Amino acid sequence: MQTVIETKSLCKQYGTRMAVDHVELHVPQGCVYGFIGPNGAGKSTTMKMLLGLIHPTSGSVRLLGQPLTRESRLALLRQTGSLIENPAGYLHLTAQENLEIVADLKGVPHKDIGRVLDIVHLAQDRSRKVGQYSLGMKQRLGIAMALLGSPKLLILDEPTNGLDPAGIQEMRALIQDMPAATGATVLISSHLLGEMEQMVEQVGIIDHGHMLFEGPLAELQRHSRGSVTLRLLDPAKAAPILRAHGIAADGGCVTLPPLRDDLLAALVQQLAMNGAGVVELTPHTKTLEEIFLSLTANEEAD
Amino acid sequence: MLSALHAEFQKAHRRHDLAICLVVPVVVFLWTGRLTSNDPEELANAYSALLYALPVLNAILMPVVMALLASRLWDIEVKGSTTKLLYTLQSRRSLFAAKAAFGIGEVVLMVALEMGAAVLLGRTQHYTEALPVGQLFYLGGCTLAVDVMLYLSELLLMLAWENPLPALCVSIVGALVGLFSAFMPPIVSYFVPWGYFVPLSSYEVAVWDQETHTVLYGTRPFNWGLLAFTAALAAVLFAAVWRMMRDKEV
Repeated sequence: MQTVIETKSLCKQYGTRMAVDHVELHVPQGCVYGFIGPNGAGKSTTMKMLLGLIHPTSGSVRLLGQPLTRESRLALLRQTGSLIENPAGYLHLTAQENLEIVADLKGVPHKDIGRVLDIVHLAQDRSRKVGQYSLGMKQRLGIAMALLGSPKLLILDEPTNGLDPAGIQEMRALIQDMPAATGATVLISSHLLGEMEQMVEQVGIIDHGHMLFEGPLAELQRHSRGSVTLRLLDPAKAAPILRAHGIAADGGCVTLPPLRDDLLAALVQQLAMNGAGVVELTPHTKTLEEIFLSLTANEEAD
Repeated sequence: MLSALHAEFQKAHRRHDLAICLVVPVVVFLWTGRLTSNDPEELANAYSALLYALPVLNAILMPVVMALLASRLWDIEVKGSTTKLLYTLQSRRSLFAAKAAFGIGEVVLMVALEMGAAVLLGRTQHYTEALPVGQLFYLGGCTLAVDVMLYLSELLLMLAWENPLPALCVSIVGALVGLFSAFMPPIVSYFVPWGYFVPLSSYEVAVWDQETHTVLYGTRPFNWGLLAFTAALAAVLFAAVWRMMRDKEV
């Protein structure tokens, strides 16, 4: 699979503070990539460097297979849509007029405006001044601007910021559908982990400027397996086996620590053969939030 | 560059910049028009009186009007949080060039309208003095140079603070100090760029008769040195605005 965004040892230093510290980002084509981290972790700074809005202290960026340089920047960004921090929009102009300005600067025909307004459900409000829009509508207009010209890559920085729950749900559905609907790869940042879990396939976790993890969400969850609860018919028969594995048995429900699949299978087989009667096995997968907290805790401990 | 300039025209829609450009000519027309009398002696010296008064009027109005123009041009980008988006769609150079060209274009329009208002006044009030075309062009050139210098200084303040208030405050204080400096010795007025309209003026009071309360205005040599210095100051500010726009991280 082609990598749409690739960074090598990307660094940004402000004074003595490293805002972004040797970040290696690999965003595969056609996915929704979640860039997760707490406020001040370095997400926006990284995204701004991806768009050439700020210059890296060191390191390099490749977008759509080409190095991002002063010369190539605008040509690459014409194939990219972005929404960084706050949604943009001239408040004294209507949504239609705003989109016309962006379309002209992108070199996109005006007929594309109707398409993007339909996608973000703003077609009815195209003639209203943006100054009269709610924050959610401005966010959707920002997405519409990013979508003009059907870019191959969308870079969205906290697009659900300030939205109400209904707005968040709507935005989530919109972004989730984007690879299928428009063929675009989406890089989206957020600190709302639960929300990202429902939207992304690939994740990158950043904290204090360092990448803590990068890969498929499923892999992150697999690596960060939680405990397993066993319900037993005959705890007495299970007790010696569990004690031998260093697990305290108390009553019909036993909580096992996170185990590799082969070890868990062997233990369950042993319990069954000794007549302990394993009737239920409930794995507790850690939520992204728990995984994130454990990863950031590990980093702080290091 | 053309698409960037086209975008500036699109952004100006419903911003009513033309109303601001019309403020100065309308004030000139109404204020100086009311002061003109039908006395044949005054009408014979009326263009001279008008071209003597205009720099003073400019020193009062122009700093604030330039701050208004500059703030309207940049404030829409600040309020709309559009700079990050724009810098992904166009080069900083093209945005700067379009803003500078559009703003300076508005200043040129305003000065042309002001000079036009002066000529119109002469026609409607039946001035008997011959239209001093050379003096009028010199005044237009000086007004344009000082206006552009002030416009760029206000744009620089807007870029630095991302807020129209400092630029507006500086312009109000500048207008007051500039006007005050106009009545000080010429050397003092050279240190107050907001009031350069007055030391650049080519008209002066030639005769002042206290008993009859009559004034005759006469010309003095063009101040090419100060005009060149104003143009140089404008060039320095132009470079400073470009540097700030080029280097400022968003």
